[in-house]
Amino acid sequence: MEKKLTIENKLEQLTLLSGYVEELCEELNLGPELVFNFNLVLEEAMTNVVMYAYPEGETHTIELTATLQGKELVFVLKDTGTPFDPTQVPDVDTTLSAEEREIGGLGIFLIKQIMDRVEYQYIDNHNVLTMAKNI
Amino acid sequence: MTTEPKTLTVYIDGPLNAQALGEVQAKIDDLDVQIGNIVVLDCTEMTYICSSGLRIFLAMHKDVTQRGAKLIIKGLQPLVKEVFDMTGFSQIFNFE
Repeated sequence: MEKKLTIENKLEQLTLLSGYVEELCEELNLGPELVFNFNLVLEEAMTNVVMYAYPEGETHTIELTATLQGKELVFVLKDTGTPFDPTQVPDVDTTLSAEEREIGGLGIFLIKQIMDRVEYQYIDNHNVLTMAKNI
Repeated sequence: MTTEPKTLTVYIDGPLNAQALGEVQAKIDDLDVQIGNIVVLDCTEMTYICSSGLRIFLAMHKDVTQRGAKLIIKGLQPLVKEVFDMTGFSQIFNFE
């Protein structure tokens, strides 16, 4: 099983994501909790790329591929933007009070919480973010 | 004689994703919060929240508290509540 979604680096293109996740989870017979969590993980990862990977005004494509490898559902997100390894962002401290909480890092933190494996590579001028979960 | 504190309610419907952020922020900015008010974020119909949505809630919590009012989140759906739990936001907010 392989399912692809290609979008341009525009926020409004992220609306394509929910249909993609819905179809994927239907094909794999996955329940509402995984639909919710994959929507969240993929929106966080793709929003980061759309917002920060490219200089303003440039149009590029971002490619998402889902493959089922045994029991593991593997999402691979590829872009040609500025090299950035989100796995190196320090975890947020969830014990801090509202006043002490910092604004950044929540997205990647949620990705790491939900997925079982999150890896980053920079290959042939591509950021390659792998996010996998046993289903 | 004591009077009941004034309650302001904001309703959030559907998914609070990147597309919905502007609309929700505008609803929050429209509130005229005064000392002693209770601000209720009614999330009964909110089906989803992303990290930017959480950040809006956090900023709102700080702002409402600074104005001497109290923020209460109402009616979180179970999957949304899990996102609050994962990020430690469950300890920050008051829930009803």
